[in-house]
Amino acid sequence: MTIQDIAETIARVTAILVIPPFLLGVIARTKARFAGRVGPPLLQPYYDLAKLFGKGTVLSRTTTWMFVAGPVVAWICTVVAAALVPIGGAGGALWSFDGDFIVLAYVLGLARYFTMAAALDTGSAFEGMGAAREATFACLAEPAFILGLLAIARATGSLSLSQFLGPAIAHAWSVAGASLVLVIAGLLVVLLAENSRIPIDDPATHLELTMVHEVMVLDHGGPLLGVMLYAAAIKLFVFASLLVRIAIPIASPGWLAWLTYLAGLVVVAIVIGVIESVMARLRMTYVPALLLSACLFCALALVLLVR
Amino acid sequence: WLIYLGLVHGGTEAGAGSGLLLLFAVAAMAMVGVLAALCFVRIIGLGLLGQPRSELVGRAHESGKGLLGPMAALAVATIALPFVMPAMVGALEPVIAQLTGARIDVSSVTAGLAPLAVLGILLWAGSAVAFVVIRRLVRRARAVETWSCGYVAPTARMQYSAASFAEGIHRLLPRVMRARIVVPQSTELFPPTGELSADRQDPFTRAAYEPLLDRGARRFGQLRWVQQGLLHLYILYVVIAVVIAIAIVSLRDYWVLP
Repeated sequence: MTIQDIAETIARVTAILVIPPFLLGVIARTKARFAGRVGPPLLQPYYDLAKLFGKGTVLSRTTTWMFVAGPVVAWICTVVAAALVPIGGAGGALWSFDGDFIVLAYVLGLARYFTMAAALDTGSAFEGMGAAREATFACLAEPAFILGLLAIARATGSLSLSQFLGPAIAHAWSVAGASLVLVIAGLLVVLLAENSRIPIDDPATHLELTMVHEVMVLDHGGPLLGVMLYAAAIKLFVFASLLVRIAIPIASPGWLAWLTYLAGLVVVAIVIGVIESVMARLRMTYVPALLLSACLFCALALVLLVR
Repeated sequence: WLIYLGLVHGGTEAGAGSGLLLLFAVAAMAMVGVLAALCFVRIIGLGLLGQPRSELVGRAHESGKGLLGPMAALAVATIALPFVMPAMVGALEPVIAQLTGARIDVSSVTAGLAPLAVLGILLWAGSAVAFVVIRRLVRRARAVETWSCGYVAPTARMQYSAASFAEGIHRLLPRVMRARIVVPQSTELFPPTGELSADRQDPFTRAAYEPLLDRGARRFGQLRWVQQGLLHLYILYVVIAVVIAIAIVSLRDYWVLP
């Protein structure tokens, strides 16, 4: 355990806890600029979280302990997922082992399970609708996610996220670049789906027609809503980190690598903001087609690698 | 988890055809995993959470200790499973050696199972700590009706049911496997009544098993004259069968064997 290792670990933990709301701020700022407005400050999500944690709570009489446990377990699951993903320029994850990308998918699925259970706990038709829609989209987004990661695993010949998103990816780009481009496209669609962004869901609306994630957290208020918001931000951070690490292969660790990584995260957030500004939400019946196309991208990437 | 590890190891190291199959198998298993989780959300969410969806359910009560005890024991066993699995696999090693005659090195299996134990500890400990912290924050909580975006008169019947929860996934199935929903169209200008019938039976039972077994049953029904319900007739059948059997055996001995 050298000083370098300890510094890297501290930097990673700080990154997981501090950076996610900043990405939300960048997305909001990008959307505002596109609309010709000045937009909220970049640090607004931090102020929002502080405000929410200071508020009181109103709980529905229909809810049980599951309503309080839902956001909490979702938050823990997203933090564990962030610990599995390599963060920073060129280093590994906080915790890595063979097959950890499957555990990543399952831990994020557990977070989704508890969010849906907390939504169904309120006994309201609205939240049930959100849970049902989330169920449909998860069915298709999950295989796309796993196929994308499997393609990278096959391209780099290793089984752990830290290994195949580390130095091995640079070699994979020179050998299997087309597959990796397809994987990036597929994983971008999965990112939009899992984080409830346009074109799958509209995070800034409360109209029944267009809500999936927003409606599941509708009855949470105060600290519980703050925890949910934080968990959603960390989930976005996890997916954005994956995209950045696939797209930008960095060989050597150090502060320059960290800077590149952070710049990559901001670029991903700006891209999400641009997508949200130029597109409207897709009609609900077309969203499974979009997710299926993401599945096909990743499957094609896999087939191209294995032929 | 071990199946996943095996498939992934094989998929990344194997050749073209089999490797692809193994990796697609991993994706299929992932989809099965998601569907399983969604089934559990549906069962628990619709059966246990929210408002009671019918009169009968509203009067449900918790079972006695006799029923709860074994369930609690099973729950404890399931929770403890990732922590004892490595030791159990080690204990299975002599059994495997005896059954298959080959010495299998289980250290790689134990090493592969170790992260699950760590994951279990992380999730349980983290959830417990965070739950306690959050309980402190929501201590002074007011209790009101569910807000649900300002809808003032929610009823229990408005909640999502099992069929409506699965409707989205239902639409992804091929048309043959979906439910048959019949809504007769009315040609009047102001139709007084409407009608909807949904047949949500299992599609294989409805389309394959039942017609096949019906046809078989009709054929076999033509033999019903054999069964008259008279005991003497049945004994006569047994005697005839025994006589025929003896005849066959003795004729075989007479003609076939020298």
